[in-house]
Amino acid sequence: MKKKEIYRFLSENMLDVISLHHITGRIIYISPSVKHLLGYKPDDLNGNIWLRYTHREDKVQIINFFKKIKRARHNQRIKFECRLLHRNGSYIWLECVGKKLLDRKKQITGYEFVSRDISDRKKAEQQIIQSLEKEKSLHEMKSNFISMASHEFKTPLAAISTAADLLETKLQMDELMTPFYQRNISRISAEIFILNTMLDEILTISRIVSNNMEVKKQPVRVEQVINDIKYQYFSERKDDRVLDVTVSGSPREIYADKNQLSKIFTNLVGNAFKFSSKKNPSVKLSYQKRRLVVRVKDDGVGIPAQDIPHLFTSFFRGSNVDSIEGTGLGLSIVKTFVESNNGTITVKSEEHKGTTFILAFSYPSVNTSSVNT
Amino acid sequence: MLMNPTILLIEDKPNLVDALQSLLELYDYTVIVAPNGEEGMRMARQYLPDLVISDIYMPVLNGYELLELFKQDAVLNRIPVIMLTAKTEIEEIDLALQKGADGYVTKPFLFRNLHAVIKRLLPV
Repeated sequence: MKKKEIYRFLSENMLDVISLHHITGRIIYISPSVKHLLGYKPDDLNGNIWLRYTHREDKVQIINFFKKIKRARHNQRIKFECRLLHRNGSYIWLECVGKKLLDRKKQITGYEFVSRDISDRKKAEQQIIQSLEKEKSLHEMKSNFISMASHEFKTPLAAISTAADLLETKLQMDELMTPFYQRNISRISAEIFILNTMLDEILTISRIVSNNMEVKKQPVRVEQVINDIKYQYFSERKDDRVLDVTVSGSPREIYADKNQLSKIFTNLVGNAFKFSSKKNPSVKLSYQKRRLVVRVKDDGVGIPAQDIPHLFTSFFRGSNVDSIEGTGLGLSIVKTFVESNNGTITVKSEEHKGTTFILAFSYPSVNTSSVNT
Repeated sequence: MLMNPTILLIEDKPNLVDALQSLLELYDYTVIVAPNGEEGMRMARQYLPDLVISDIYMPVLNGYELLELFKQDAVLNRIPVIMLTAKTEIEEIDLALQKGADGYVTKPFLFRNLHAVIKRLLPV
């Protein structure tokens, strides 16, 4: 078989379409396989420009593609995807690989393309995108639902706790309070706040699981966050205990998500109060040379040594805390948030003596802080 | 203060309003109640309360809009406002404080915590 016949054999029998284009884009040669691909005979297309058959949304892209080939190195092939008009009026997705053709003086004389049908691949891609979008919107719906439900639950909880407060105050003022009433009113009140914490934890976990937890980092002064939560959640306690906060070193900002920091310390300080009963829990902030170290300490029940490796696992609860309510989600959330703020958390604990959580956060590098100040 | 301080409570949930109003009255506050922000504005102008406790998410005129109107008003902007809401995100709290809220208490709350904020804000 002669060389010319081999080329003809190839170009007539392969499914891909080979085309040669004049420098103006006009088609000089197009292989017969175009009939199979786009329904035209080669003669229908010869002399026409590619752009005429291109989907209007892809026209700009095809013009840019020609420019890109012009700028490309000799023999470098450039790939692009576009929709071309089939003779029956529908559009077919093609993948075209093109390169420029040069004469002996290295002047562009035209272009050479190999094009193939990628409709099936595009359809599959489209299906994947659609199912991902559907999944995302389902996740969002679920997360919004949990957020709405958690918000809606809090109003009745507020009504119940205020009614319990009202009963307590009225009984005291009328001098009718007995230990029996006191015990049971306190029980109602305590359980409401446990339920409230669980709602917050479930809401947070649902956001983490659905990847709906945006980390908004900004320069933050941690002692301010701790003082805010001290005032908001840990003041006016019935047992008169308070949170002791001490700061050493020169305070400076870290780069973190304020909301997540607040949740980290609300949880750790909440645990410190929950699992101890005598001394004040303490938070010690130590601004060291390279990082901020925060120690949250209590003198409570402590954590049995065998439980420590599982402490940050979701739904895990210490073997000595059966009588104290909780979801087992709190510390798992804490660890997720500490890590998403580039921090570390470790724990030291001894049963019946107390627990200390040690957190460390690096200071922002010069670049990071200059961007944000 | 010679007269009992008057607190305007703007909240649309009747059970919470009833219990909170009774509690505040046990502590000798005079309580007036509005079920939404719009009615709250009208009552604030009419009665000039010593302090306002307001929900954020309400059907007509929400708490943020109410705060803005309060802060623009030459007379009302001297009245302290405590926001009482189920939203616990720092962004919500910051937004309320930015818009001029004087205090922020999240639902559910212990009355003694709310009372501590009230006592801090009321002129002695």
